[in-house]
Amino acid sequence: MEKKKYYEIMKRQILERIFDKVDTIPTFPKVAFYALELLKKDEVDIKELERVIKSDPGITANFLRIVNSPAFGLPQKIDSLFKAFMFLGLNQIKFIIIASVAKNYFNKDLIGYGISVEDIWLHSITCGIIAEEIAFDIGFSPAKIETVYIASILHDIGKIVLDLYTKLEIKEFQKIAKERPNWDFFQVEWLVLGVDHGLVGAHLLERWEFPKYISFAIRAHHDSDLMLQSDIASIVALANILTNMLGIGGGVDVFNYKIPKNLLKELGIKPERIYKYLKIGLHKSLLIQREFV
Amino acid sequence: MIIKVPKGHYQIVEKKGVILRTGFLGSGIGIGMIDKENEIAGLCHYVLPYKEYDIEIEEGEIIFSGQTLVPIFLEELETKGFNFSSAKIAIAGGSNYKNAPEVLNIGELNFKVVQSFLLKYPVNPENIILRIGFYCQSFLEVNLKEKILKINLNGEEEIL
Repeated sequence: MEKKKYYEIMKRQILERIFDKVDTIPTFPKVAFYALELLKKDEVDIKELERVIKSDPGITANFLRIVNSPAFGLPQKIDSLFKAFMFLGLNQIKFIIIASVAKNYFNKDLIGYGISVEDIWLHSITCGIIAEEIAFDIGFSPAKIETVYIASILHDIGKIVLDLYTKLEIKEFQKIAKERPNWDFFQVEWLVLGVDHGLVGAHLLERWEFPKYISFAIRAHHDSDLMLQSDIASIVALANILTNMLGIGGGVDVFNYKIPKNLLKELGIKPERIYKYLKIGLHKSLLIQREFV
Repeated sequence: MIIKVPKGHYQIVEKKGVILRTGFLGSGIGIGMIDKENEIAGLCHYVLPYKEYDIEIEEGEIIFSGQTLVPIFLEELETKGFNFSSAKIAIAGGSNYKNAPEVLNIGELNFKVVQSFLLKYPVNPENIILRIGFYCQSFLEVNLKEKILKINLNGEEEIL
């Protein structure tokens, strides 16, 4: 068999397995969806919210650990969801629910991507914190801010699907990345695996029935052309960039991407604001890290 | 013993078989220095360049910028009798995205900060290794036991 044809068949088989693996990832918990729905109502039923979240012990445990991190600056140790709701704003509750769910997905080292379980989770949360700050500054509505931090916290979810294949093909990744230094890492992923982690993440979120604009932001977070087509995607991309600049995250692909020159201009962000976002991201991530790492 | 030097801090050790190590440097900078004769080594790690970006994490606990941290680090080394002229120095980090707009290139600003303070000391340029501004992750290690400096660029190690 011709070598080229052989590689084509191999790649197709890998791709099929990747999309089969998407089906094995547990769906985004209904509890979290329902809790987010409750939080959208004009009058939030706190008792009902507590009952819903409590029905998932994993989310509840993560919620209480996150809320007790000094990043949320609560005046006392919180030992119940109800007490936590008394101290937190609605956006903070939503943020912590998403962060609690994400912790269950980012639950092991991503060996192929060269990033530890602690680092990928802290990276995701910091990205959410910075993205929320940017979205607030730009003047997004609370509902749109929520979509921004969902997309930011989950932007690398595709890596949990691809990690096994990246690990198996790591030598090929290194070889191609060396041969084609001008390529972005997602182009290398395409050549080796026939897909990139942004696309797989977006596919996963579509299966979980998240709105299209959230899955698009995840699809586009490394694509310097696509990201400019949506303000949510642009914010997710910028938050990811700033988080890595702070040294929060890392991995084999970090920094190996192009940034569109007009990213800040398209979002209407003045350059001096960048340091504000960096400071907030660094500050809060260090406080969260204390509770978890 | 391995000591991880956190962001916005430095560590100096003398006559001990200690390894000092940074985490992922990002666009921040790691400065590793080793004086083999006097058996003094130091590692400094910061993320943001200027002192207006010093961050008070909790009461009395500050994550220092390069402008605040580097002069204190170098002065303390000097006080301990560190020989700058024969010392080996490794500077790593300052990573950057491809094609990044200037405002998102804080790695370069971070590097300028360390350059400006090092000028005041009699360092030998031949003893300095710079690995700054790469499109990948980097880490830095100072090993006083083996008297070496180690830079890790995306898994590839370089020893000085």
